[in-house]
Amino acid sequence: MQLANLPRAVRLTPLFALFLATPGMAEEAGRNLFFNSGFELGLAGYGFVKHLRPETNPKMVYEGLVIDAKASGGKACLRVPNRFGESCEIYVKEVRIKPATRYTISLDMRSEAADASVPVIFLSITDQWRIHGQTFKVTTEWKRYRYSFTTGTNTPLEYNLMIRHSWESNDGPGDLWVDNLQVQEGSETEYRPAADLELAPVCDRNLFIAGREEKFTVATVLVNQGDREAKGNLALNQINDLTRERKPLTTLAFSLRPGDRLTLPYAFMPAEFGSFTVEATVDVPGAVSIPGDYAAIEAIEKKLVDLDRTLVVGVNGGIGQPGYRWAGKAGYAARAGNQEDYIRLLSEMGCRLLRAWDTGAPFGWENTEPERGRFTYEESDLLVALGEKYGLRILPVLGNSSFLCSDTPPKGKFKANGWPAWVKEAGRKRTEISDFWKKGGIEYMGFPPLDLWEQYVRNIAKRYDRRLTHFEIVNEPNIYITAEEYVPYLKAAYKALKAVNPSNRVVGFCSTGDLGGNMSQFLQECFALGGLDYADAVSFHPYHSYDLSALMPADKAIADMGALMQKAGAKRPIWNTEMYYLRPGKTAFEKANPSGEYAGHRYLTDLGEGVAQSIPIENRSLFKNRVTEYLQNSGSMTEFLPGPMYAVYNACVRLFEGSRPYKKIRWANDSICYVYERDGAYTAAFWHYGTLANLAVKLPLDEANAELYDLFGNKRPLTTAPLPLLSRQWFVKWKGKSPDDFIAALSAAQITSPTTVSLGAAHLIPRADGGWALAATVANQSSKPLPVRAGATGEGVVAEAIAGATLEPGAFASFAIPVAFKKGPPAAARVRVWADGKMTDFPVALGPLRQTVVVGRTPGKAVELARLGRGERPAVKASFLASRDDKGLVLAVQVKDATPSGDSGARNPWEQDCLEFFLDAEPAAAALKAPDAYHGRVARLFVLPYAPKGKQVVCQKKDLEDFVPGKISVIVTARPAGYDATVRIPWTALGVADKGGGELLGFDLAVDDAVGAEKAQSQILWNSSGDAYKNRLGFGFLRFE
Amino acid sequence: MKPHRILPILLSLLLALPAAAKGLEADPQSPWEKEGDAFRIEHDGSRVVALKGSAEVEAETYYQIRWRMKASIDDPRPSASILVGVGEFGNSQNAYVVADGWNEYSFFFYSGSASRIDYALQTAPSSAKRLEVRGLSLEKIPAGRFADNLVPDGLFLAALKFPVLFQPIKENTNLAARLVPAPDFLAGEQCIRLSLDNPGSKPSAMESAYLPMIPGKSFRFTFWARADVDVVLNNFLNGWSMYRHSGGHWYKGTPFKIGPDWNEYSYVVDIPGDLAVYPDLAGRMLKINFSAKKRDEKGSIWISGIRFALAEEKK
Repeated sequence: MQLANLPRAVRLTPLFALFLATPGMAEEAGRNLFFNSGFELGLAGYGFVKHLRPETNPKMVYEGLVIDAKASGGKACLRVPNRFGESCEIYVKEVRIKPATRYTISLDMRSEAADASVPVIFLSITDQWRIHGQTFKVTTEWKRYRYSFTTGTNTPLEYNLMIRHSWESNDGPGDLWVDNLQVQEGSETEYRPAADLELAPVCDRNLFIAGREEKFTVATVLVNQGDREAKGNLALNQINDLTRERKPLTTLAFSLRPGDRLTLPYAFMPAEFGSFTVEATVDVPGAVSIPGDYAAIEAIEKKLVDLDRTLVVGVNGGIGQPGYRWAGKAGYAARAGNQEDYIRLLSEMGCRLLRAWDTGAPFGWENTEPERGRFTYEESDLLVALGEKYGLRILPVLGNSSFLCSDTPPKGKFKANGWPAWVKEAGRKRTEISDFWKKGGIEYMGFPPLDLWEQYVRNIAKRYDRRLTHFEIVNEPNIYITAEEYVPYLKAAYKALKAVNPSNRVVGFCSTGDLGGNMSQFLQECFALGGLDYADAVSFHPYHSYDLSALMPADKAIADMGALMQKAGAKRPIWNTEMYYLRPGKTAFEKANPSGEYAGHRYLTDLGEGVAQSIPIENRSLFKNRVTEYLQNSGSMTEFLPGPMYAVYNACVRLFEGSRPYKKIRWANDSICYVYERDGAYTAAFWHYGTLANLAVKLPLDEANAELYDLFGNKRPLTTAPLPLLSRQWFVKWKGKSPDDFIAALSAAQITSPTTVSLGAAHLIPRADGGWALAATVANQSSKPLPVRAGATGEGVVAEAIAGATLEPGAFASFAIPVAFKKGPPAAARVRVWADGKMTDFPVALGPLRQTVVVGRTPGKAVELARLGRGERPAVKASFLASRDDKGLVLAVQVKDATPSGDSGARNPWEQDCLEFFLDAEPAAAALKAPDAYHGRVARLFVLPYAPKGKQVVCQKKDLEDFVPGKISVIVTARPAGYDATVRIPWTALGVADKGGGELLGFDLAVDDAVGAEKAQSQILWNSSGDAYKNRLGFGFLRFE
Repeated sequence: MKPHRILPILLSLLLALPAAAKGLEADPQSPWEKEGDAFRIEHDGSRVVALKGSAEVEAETYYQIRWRMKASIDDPRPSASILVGVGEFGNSQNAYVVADGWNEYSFFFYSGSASRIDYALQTAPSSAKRLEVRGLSLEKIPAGRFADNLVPDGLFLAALKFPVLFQPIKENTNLAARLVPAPDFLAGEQCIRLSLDNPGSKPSAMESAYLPMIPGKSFRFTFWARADVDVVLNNFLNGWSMYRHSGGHWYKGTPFKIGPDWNEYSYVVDIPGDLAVYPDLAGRMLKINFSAKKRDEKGSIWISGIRFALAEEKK
């Protein structure tokens, strides 16, 4: 895996380790771990969030942290200015501490107010969201405060210290001073800084804009806090945050007497675009430092563009979250600048479109008309005005997700969910909602009267007439309301918007693949209800098809949307208005913050596939988080340091804004090349979207006819030598006359790989003779037809035959390799593949053998269901007999269940007493990705013993057209203590030819148990462990004699 | 995404296709003795003494005689042979190397017009040893085996010490091949190592027992090999009659330059159907011969994955 593909937090860890691993810095008991704890280096290592309050600070003046000379010790301390009485959070750079260890935090504080209440909180996410804190009463005199705690048992542990000031609603204005912070193992000792010599490189600004600025300086501040001279050499290095390329900047000699502070400036002109870390190291043992940061981009002329004609770089975001209780007092979260500074920062990047979402939702009804007739447009007015000033179109989301309602504010929020109270009272409520929403504090779906809704939309349209041009109608409705419930609101909004100004554009549907949403089904249903007549564009949130490598590739998802519209008889531009998770990952943070090139992938893919607007990410993904790198939640972001995605988007704007897709060339080995045209000029973007390493591409192009740029837009030499083909995209500008020659050259690109084959997946399947075979999917990664042979090896595993075939370039196939086990199946083996004269081993996990039942004409022994799907002590027992007859499979199930669930009611099949049959007609099917995912020949059958006749059988299938209730015979007999079912599934329903023996089916059986009218609390299964509904590799097997 | 179908396995298991085997009775010639279901002999190696029997066969059918055999010591020279009389064809004999562990042995024949065969599993002049035999059986070769693999245990899954399908050539009475571990191969745990260190001018070679074929059909022969010296391995498919030679001699010889890494070597051979020109082919059997020329330096060739089967039909 390329380093650049690792989550940002992990990628930055080596620098973090440098900070801690500097010789002499090994953690000794009693040593202070806070960097710059006495503020002698200024604000290096500190972050600040202030929640600006319009009611006390109407001009939204931002006053950040200040270094004050009136220290409690040393020459400097921190002052937190707060004349407006705003909630403030001061963050101290993370430290890494030990598990199960006692620590003491101590600090000097004084306050302008006589008796300020100051919470001091030591907070960690990696230590299971643990908080160790104490609130102190701080007086006007310097005093030292302290508390001790013991850490949890996880390791490693990253913690941030957070000091809150004027936090609660009854805390008034007044400054706070802080000095001499200390965190140490054990009890408190006399304050000492972390090291005798501390240093930090500080860039004079974090954003360098080429073409506009003529000077750039990194000033490294050093302070000698020891009692001996510190003398040595300072080395400054620059590290590209994405590529990890390291370049030396300079070396400077220094000498400091005890107590001295020295600033060593280094002026240079950044030579490249990108996002960089500036690392300062000295050859003095025991010194500690933290890095500096800057990004270099090219100036972009700010302008408002016509969103109907130009795909722009857009992000989701806003200027604050006044509704959320991140602050004790409601306010607009400001970090290193106020809201205007923030919008300006987006504009400098080249952002032209801001979907007003997640960082405030100012156009929501609850924000704009909290009481009937009382309008509050402060935030939306500010946002629109700032957008106009800085060339950003604002896309309001009318209606937000306000159908999700509660009457009481959930924990952490000032307000109840959903519409304003007066709208909720006037409207209709639907209390039948899913458990998922209930757990999130939602009490019902609220449906405003349509006339009031229309008026709300009209009010917004009138207020911002000609200033807002496009309006999205409701966020992700498909995950909480039906198409029938949504379309009337879309229609009413359309009517209202067009009545105010016929050129208003309605972006409708906003269908999402997030949270299990079925994007396509909702769109289909809306279109069938005539929804396309009330939308000028169709928006989607393609979470399930995040890029070309997804199981549902991004281009296919876009094409499917086009096909749905075509089927409905109308074509509309497609808008991607949200897709925060650019890549899969374990946490939301990881998914939203992969390596920066993936933002480019989505933009370029959307552009290449003809999407009209692409607004995938949430604005925070653009920025690095230096102080609170591990505190990965939105509220703790303390600064807006432009990161790799910021620089990548800037390059996209420069090279591609205003382009149209011209050609798509699919290269071998999961690589793609899109060609775009802009003003008669052609530029190609290409990258590898798979998981292979060490690929290279040889292009028949050179400097005479083309120019090469990296993903930041830096020009690179172009020769006919192979280029590394990575996830980091390359751009090639064509200098020739005919685009046909350009396309021909790109089409002739040769992809080379040191590995000609790759393995998708491997799993064990039973053989007809009672043994086992390893079904392995092998792909030809080369650009020529390849004879491939596959075997297996490993501890205790022997392949008994060689499988293989000749694969065309890019093709894959599944090989069944018979294997024998010496002592039962091992946990792992290696699939050995021979191709192109080389043997390559691919380690595979084997897992336990899946149960197999041999099925003959006579039922064998009853097979008990012994695995637990859910519930703790299921009261149900079940067994089944399997046999075959001339027509197909016969299954007889006996269930002992003394608590019948009765009428289905509104319950889903699995939420009541139910038999769930899982069938895989092609258990050895090949799959390069996600082999456990259902393919088209997997089907599910639900038998509901207590449903009315005619409704006892429910079938779920995709490609097996004859797998329908009419073709499957089910006889259910209820008994006092349970029920029996006999199910006959013909071969034709399974799409399997009757060979008279040797057939193999993947199979599992689950029995759900509900007590009376409750939802099912327990489930027992035959083979899988509860995930059979999504994992076909958890099924057992039926092997037919 | 439509799942791809499983592709056919190229090399079969030793017992991939079930066949109805019939146990064969044998009349032991002294000093052969019967013990339970096995036969054993302690012999001084000087005499040829047999287990004799006869069996009914169907005409125009391919058969395999199988048995398991072991000796009290390893001997690279043949310690046993089988002599089978098949009607008008006459008698055919094949010699076998025996290890000090149980191995499975085969003798193939085509019945032609015969309705009965005679067989004699006999000792061969060799060093003194004890021989044991069990599981003597006769089975028809199902049609499916021709498409699968006519070489029994081409991956040496069940073999012990010697690739017992092969015997030494007459120029060199010691079998130059042994079974050695093959941890770097695709399948199985063993492979043949053909030693290239014979003294004098004797080639390093081995020759298989007769294997079935069908005149007029195309067959594919495949094997895998690697070598630690620069060497050409000659492969010979020999249609010389297993009974009495007459007429033309059909054979196909192909040299293969063997490299240092495992490689697959494969070719299709069209077996003539004109029995007037090649009357030897009426017996419907051929031998596989591997040999490497006289060497000045020592070395080895490792061989596995041997397969002989009907060629795929061209589409």
